[in-house]
Amino acid sequence: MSSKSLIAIGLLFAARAGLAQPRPPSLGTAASFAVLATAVTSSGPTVVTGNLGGKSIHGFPPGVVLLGTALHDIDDPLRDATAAYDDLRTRTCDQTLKGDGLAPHVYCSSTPFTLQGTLTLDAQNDPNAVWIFQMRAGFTAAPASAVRVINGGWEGNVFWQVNGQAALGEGTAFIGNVIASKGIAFGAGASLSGRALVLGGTATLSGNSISLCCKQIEVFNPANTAATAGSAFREVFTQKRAAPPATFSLGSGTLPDGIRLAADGTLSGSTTQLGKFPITVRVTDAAHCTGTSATYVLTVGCAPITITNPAIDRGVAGVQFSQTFMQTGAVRPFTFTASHLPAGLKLEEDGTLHGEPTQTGVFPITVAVTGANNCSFVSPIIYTLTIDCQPITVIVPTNTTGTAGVGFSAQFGQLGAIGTPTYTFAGGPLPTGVTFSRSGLLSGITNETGCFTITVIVTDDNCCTGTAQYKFCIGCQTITVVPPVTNSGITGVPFCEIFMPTGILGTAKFTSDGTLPAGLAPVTSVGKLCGTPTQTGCFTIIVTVTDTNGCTASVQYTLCITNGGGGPPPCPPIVGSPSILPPAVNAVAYLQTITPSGGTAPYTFAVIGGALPAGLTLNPATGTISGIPTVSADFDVVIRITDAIGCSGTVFYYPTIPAISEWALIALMIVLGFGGALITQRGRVF
Amino acid sequence: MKKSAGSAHALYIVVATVVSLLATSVAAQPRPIFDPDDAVDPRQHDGALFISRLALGGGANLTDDYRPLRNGGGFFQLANSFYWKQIQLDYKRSKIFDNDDKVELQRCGCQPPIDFPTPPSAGSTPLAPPQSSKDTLQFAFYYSVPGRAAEPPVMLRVRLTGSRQNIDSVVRSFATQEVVERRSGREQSFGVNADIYFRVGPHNVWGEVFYARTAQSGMMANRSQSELAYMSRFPAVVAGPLILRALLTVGAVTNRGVTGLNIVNPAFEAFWHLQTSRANLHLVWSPQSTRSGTGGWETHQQLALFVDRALFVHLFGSPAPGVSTTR
Repeated sequence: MSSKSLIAIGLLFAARAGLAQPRPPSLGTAASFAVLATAVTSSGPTVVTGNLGGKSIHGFPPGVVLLGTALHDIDDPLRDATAAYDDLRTRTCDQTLKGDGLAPHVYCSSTPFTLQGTLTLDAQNDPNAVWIFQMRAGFTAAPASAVRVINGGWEGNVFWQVNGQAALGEGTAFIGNVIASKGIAFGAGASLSGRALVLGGTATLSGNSISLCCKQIEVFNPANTAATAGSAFREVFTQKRAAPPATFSLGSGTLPDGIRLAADGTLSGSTTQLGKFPITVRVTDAAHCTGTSATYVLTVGCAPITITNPAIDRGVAGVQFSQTFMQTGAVRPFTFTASHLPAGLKLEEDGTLHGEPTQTGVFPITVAVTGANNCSFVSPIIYTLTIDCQPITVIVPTNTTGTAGVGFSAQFGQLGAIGTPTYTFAGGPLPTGVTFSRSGLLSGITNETGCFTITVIVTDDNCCTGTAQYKFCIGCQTITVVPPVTNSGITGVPFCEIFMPTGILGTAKFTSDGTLPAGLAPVTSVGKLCGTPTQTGCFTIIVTVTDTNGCTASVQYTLCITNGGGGPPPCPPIVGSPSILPPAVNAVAYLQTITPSGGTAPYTFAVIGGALPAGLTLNPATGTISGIPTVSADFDVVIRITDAIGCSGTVFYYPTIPAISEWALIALMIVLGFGGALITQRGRVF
Repeated sequence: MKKSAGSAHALYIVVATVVSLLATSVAAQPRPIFDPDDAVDPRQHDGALFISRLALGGGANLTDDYRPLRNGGGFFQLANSFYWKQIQLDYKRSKIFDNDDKVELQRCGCQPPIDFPTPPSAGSTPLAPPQSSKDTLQFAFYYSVPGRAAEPPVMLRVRLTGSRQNIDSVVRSFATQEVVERRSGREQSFGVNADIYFRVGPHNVWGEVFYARTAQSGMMANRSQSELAYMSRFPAVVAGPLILRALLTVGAVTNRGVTGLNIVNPAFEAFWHLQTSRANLHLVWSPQSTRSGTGGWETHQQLALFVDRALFVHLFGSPAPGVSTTR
């Protein structure tokens, strides 16, 4: 044989040695034991499939042993288990236990090792693949953890050599032959497909399923892992090699609310929870054997959501607005949200947009809806809401008149303005001194008179306006003319008096009307009556003063000029006749003229007391009482007769027949001696 | 047994009675508890004699070759014996009905497959094989030895025994209960036993030495064993219609994890011969103590009640008067 051939053979052996997999140890008589320990203690409905060996065994029943029996003669099995343990312990460790998808090797851990989650052992299509785990400082399988073999391996070829205590946590789905030196403790509900062999110690069971007779149950996850929130979901887990009936259950993880795993492997329901839900599914068959699936990550995504905008997209500020957004796909209770809403509008969670908008304008509103499962959708279709101005009514003041020179105040109001209304004077003449404030107050003191029409605009916070015209009038102030105290003069003596106005605004301008004694000039514009009278007599004039606004006031002024330096002539007695007027008869035409005597004509007549019988009138210029009485009555009236220079006399007309009371008084006065005097007064002109 | 003489018919009756009464020699182990002693002194018959005996009964805690059965039950045995001069040939067929005749094993699906129930360990007392019908062939030879002075020679027997029973096992899948394997095997036993007689002072001591080798095939654990035992027969006591007898067997059986004496098996029998029916009623209590390496001494309180009835035919010649012995 050539040297090359030798080298090739050597390399071949080296390669085979490198690829060599561990061989399983011989379990000997321990092979038939599912549980073997010096002492076995069980609580709860433990099911052991295979032999149960222990010098002391407690808890059976309620625990049951299927297939095998409870054996106390365990010296030989313990010896064989010890030999297997020693065999495993002395294997050369070639891998550190870490990661997942472990190929057949001898793995070891020098520190206490805790298995979390699901450990997958990949047989790589080798049915004789063997895994050996040397746990040199104890071993713990965390609750709900699992070990599974894939790709053609055999669970019975998994060996856990545990130096010390092994603990399989609650709900663990474990596989393999666990040979522990000091003890094995099973958490509640943990299952073991394999053997639990304790060399010197106690196997503590708690409602577990331990079977060495299990075929490898393969559990296949459905391909689809995507679920839609709010929609029905249904997928089916399947299995292979389980002895019927196979029962599917949740091995680890938590399903979203509404999704449940049925015993036949159907994962179905409808959920609103979003997210990823990694689970493992466990299959338990009639022989209490279990298989565990690979991690199945159920991903629940959001359902498609749509939002439909309301058809009406216009509103009026200050007017109740209500429209509803519609959605599909969101999980109730959902919540609508929106941005760029006009003030005053609120979008309720159910999509109702309502309220009284207090803001005008065009509002591009973006609406989103979020379901109970936090699935949200933002509508790409902007809801453009236009809020128009509301009508604003300007309330004009009720007082429309003022007086020149007197403070004027009128307050405008409004209806419909949103926010703070602003009043603006928009046009029209304003009298000087009157101003218009932004608060709508028209006020001031003006000397102008006249009527003014102004336009007022009210603007609210949204720049919505209301307009009104307001007409107000400023009337003349009270003007008086104070005549001179002196009302007499003497011929030849200069006379100059001045009329004094009061209440004048601006410049007073006097005029006079009437006949002045010769020598006197008319009242000047400034109110002076000056001159040297040359004519005697009493002269009455009307002096009128007019101010700048044309406001006037008049006073009658009688000036008596006497001759030669004496005082004014005394007024002669002025009497009227007849002294007694015939009574008025109802419906009978009446005509009676009072004729004055004394004084200076012309005369004027006026009723200064009492009243004419109904239906009769007094002509002030002629003194004629005329008319058709509507009653029958005596006259009970006082009439003044004034002559041209202001001298006057008074005529009393009393009823001719005293009243009963007067008769009684007369009688009394007679009795008392005064009756004649009283009677004398009757019908007399004083 | 009393000496009898007279006419041929009378002798026939005597032989029949003797044969029936011989059945009182209840079979101590290793013979089945329901196997009566079937020795017939050749001097009691002239020609060939054929005896067919049917035994029926039931018991509890029965054993089979010092191997406990799983359950008690009924049993029967049909023994056909042919006697000619000093030769005896037997064919026996027996069966114990203990529901174990078709043992079904459960096989779990692990690798390598493991069948259950797990047989007892090598150092413990094995279980009896499934009790299918057992066929037994025996060849015996009678020979005489001198008795006491003025007494006829003592007739002893040495016998070879071969037995066989088929063991059919069905292996079902534990998971599916489908039959995954059918096994056919057998248990065979070959043995020799010889009567022993000796005198101790004025007393005659009767006994029997057994040796047998049993081998199995087709079992989960084919346990073979060899047994060597001595059975002492104590004199019977007549109490009214009953005959009371006692036996004591001591010996050793191999493959029990121990060496030395590991069998102590007394047996006590009350026997009543029913004259009208010529049947024999047996009540046997046999506390069998065996010792194994793992279990130590274990006692099985065997109790059996059965009846046997024999039919006998004198084939050639006639019963000859002679000398008989009782054992």
